[in-house]
Amino acid sequence: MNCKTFEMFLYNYLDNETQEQESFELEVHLEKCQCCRNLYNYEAEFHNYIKSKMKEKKVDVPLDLKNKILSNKKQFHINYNAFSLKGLASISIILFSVVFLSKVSMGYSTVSENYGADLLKDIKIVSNNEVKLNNWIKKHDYKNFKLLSFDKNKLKLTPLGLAFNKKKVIVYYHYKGNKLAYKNMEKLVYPEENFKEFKVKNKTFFIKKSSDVSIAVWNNKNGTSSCLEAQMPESQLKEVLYSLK
Amino acid sequence: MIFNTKKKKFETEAIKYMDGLYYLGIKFTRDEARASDLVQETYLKAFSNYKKFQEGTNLKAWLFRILTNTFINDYRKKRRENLIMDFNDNENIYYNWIEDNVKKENRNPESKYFFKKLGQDIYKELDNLPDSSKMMILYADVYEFSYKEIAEIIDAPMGTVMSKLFRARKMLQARLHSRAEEMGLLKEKENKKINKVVKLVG
Repeated sequence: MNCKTFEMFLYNYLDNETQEQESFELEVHLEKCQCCRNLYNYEAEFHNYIKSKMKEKKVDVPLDLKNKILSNKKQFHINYNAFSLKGLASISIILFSVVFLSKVSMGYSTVSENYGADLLKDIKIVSNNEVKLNNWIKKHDYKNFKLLSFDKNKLKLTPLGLAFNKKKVIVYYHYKGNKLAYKNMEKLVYPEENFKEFKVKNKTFFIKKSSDVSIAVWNNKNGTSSCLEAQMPESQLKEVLYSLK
Repeated sequence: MIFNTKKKKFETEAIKYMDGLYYLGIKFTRDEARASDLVQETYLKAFSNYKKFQEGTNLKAWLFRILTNTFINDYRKKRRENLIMDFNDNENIYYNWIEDNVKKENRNPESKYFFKKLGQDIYKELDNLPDSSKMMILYADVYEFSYKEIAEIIDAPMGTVMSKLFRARKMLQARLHSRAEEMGLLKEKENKKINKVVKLVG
């Protein structure tokens, strides 16, 4: 080890990237060379300075970005699972092909599972055609699900995957016995334990405790699931469910 | 089933690095909106190329690589070649600079503490570095990636990583010296030589 090689290895040493033998040689050289000791002191100081300074600075990720990424995550599911298509431009094509496919080969549950608010949002961006979209939603709802005769603005039965409440779109996914639900537009994840199980005439429901908006999720006999969102307290929603069955 | 455990694990892991990626994005683009776009694009790419990621390898480095490549290819006017060529010259200058300032003059023990007096200036000087140098310092000193990980991120051999990092740090030192000189924190005798180096470095 001479002064030149010492200099070459110094940063590696400071970064803990040297082998045991190299470290040993560096330390031996450091002991006997005043020049390199000065260099070492200087560089170590600089090294510490940068590291400590840089650590101080932290930036918070904007909430907006976090939300976008979480929605990308879901969109990725949608694209990846169902169609393996990439890019937003292709989504408008999905819209039509899926409506077609759902009639031909896919079961309902696939469609509802893979359709999320983000997809809808993106279609809006791409096609900018809300009328078409709304028609599709109506059609989809109508064909696959019984609409309950409640005040439509307040209460609507929707497929698992889509829940519409005026301007709000909410997405629910199956997960572990259908207890977990994702509220998409507001990027809220309801943890599993927020849902409490209760039974109405042999049918099991999972209902989220709330004083404002309550949500009930359940399985249907044909293998699909449904969810019900209502702007009412949990107790009231329970009453509705009792009266339903 | 919409979630499978492997995919879910991948996503949960990937989301954890959002803070780091965003900070890097800000450092790269110097603009919050563009940084957001960059990070979002990074995640989009990561999620859609999830199958290409091999489990057990370094996810953090993989994500940083995607962000780096996206930045170089899409957000930066100069292309990758330029980035690599950026600072291959002037190598000897740095060596001379060390000899001048550290070895021959037997540096004044006080002067190594000038860094601390610089305060926030380090961020400004870091921002003023060429992208290639800035990257190296960010990877090594902010995110504390190992040389191996950095090699993965910038897709270059370890030797290149070492020499690039060496030069990047020297460049930052030279700039900090120059700033210290402006602030009157360094002796004049030292200053002249440093100044010469800084001028050459640009």
